[in-house]
Amino acid sequence: MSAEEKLTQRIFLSGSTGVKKTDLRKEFAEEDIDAILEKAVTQGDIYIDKKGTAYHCWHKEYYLQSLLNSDAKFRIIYDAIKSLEQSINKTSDALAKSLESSTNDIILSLSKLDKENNGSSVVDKGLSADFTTQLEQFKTDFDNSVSNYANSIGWVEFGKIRNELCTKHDISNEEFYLLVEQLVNKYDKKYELSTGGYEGITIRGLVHGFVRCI
Amino acid sequence: MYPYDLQQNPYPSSPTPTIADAKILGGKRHNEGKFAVLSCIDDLYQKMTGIATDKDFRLVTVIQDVGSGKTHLSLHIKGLKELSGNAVTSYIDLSQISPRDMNSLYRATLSGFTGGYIKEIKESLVYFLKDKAERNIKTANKVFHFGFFDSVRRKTLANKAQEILSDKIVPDCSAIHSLLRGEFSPNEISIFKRILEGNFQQDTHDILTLEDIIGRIAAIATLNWKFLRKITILQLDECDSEKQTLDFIKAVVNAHLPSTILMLVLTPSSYEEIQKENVSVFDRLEKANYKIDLAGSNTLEEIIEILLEYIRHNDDKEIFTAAEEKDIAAKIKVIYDEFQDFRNIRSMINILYHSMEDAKKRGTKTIDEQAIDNTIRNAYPGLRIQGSIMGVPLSEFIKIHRSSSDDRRLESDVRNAVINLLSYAYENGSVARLEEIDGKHGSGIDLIYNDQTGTKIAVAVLIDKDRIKTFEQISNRIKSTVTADKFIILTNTYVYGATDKASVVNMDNRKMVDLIYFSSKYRNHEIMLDDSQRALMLAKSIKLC
Repeated sequence: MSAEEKLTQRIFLSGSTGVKKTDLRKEFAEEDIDAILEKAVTQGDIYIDKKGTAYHCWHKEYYLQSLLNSDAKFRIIYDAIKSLEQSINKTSDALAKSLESSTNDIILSLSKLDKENNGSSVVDKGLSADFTTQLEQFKTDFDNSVSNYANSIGWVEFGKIRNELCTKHDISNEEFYLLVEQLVNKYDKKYELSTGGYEGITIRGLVHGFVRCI
Repeated sequence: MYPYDLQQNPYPSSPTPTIADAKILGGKRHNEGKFAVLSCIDDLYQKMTGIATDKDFRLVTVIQDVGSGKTHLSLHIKGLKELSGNAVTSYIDLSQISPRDMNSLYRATLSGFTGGYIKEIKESLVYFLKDKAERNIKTANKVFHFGFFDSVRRKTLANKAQEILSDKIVPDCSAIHSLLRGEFSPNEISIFKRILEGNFQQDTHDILTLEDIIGRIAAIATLNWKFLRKITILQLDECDSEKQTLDFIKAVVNAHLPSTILMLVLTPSSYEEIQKENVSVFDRLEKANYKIDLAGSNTLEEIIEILLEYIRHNDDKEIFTAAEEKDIAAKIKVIYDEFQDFRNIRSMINILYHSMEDAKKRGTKTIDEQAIDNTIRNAYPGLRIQGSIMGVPLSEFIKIHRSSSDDRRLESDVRNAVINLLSYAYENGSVARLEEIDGKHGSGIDLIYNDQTGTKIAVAVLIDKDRIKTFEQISNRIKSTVTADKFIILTNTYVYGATDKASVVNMDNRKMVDLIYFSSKYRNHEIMLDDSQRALMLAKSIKLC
């Protein structure tokens, strides 16, 4: 391990309390620690600041925590910024959802228009023999995709398998979810849905974006 | 008195479970989950030797969707009497901690322990010090303020210990460090002191770093094992991918807290987010010692079992019969089948809570259709039976649904309903001419009518769930000698097919219930204006008129 790495490691281990520069000078008496520290500070790995009467060094992982612990004003500003960040995140989420919903509405309207013009869609096919066959074919591929993309506990986000199945069956996103809905309703003992994710089936006003085979 | 002679409503009314509600745990999957956790506790307990070490740490995850009973299971485990002898549990609901930082997480961990536990550990510590004092260790005497005058007044150390335990005197902990040094770590001494002074749950003043916190939690676990011979369970409910939470979890897992089980309760969505947010923590969760899977927790069988367990548990007189169980199960099934929104235990409990209250008000002995119907109408006013054209109330739906389990009766009811529907259409001018086929049942045709364009249409109703498999078989059954321009076969067989003259119309359960409901209203002269429009829509939906 190089002197630079040793010094960084030493500072890291001191956690949010930091370590006095003078102590480092004693510990690394044989090294030119000023040069090493200057380099580390330039790279942003280490922070040096005055604490009491002495200069202390912190690793980048702990400097923020140190400031939060020691500087009440900083902590208040930090909390305020965090709160602002959360609020912005919420607003942008809401905006994204609203956009998504508007997009879905547009897609639905276009699809209805298309249906009126062409007279065929998954919904229309809902009661036909063709639809039953299509649903069964879709089921086989859907089950395969779920088992391929599922995490260790079996869950998979619809978003992860949608593109593949839409391409394979030449269906739109909207038709994909209509088929999934039919599938889950028909084989309700075989599939399990879970809330969350960015797209999926809406039940009780909640987007269910995860699925697994039981 | 509530239905089934129950003294109280067995179903909880709160949207999320409380410790009291969680005493009851029903359902096969939930009980399997419970036994997996108990097995983990038992396994760890068996492996524990004299001293708690970092080898005695276990990680358990419970991952399932919202409203599936994870919190209920956690609280149930926390409150289990059979565990009170070998485990101490701190339940932490992360959704209640804001802002989320290491101090607030530590405070929540301390608050998660019960008052009973704090009393128990305090008692052990006080008697531990009493033993030292009895061995004439001066600093131990000091803790009890035991002096010359106490001896004169014939007060014993046991009296003093009791006074500390009943909060009559505050122990003098000024010399506790010198007394326990060598035998306990500094963190253990700090916790020891806090417990004695009665401010255990406020132990946050001199905590500066995450390392301090982990040290303190490890000290609590060590003392729990040393003095109570109990392992420590930390339950973190509503786990999410928030940075401070993940740092805390990672630190606890990495520290291998002695004689401790960390139980993380989260949703599949949070699990996925953790994977995106912090691979390192996700990797640790993947390697959990036990992954409790409540797969199938929202299936009908599981929901029925859980709901029945509430009544069984409260049925002190043991008068809840198997027939009554079957009756409730059938009603639950209808709600489950017809309302996708209610396919989770939380919603179902809410329905049965309200149904119990409604049945009690009306003085009925059981939860009847009316109680469920009133509940759905009052608590969920916007809900209708999916796809019902006639707007059938749930109570009627349940009744008709139940009576239609017999194919013969169903066929007869649907046949009469179709005749009534076309008669009504004839009365309204939607059908030009109607001819009933009295005495010609052998033909397989039930009705002939002329539509407004003059086309002569023959209708046959064929209800047969299992035997008919093909269109040819249907055609063979309709050995009609009747001449008509068009044949319509109304069936529930899900057989598809058509010729130039004949077409098969498949009707699902809802459609048949709609027909029977209309028929009943028609017979009883209860058709209103709104019903009239609905009836014509119903006729069109099955290609009549």
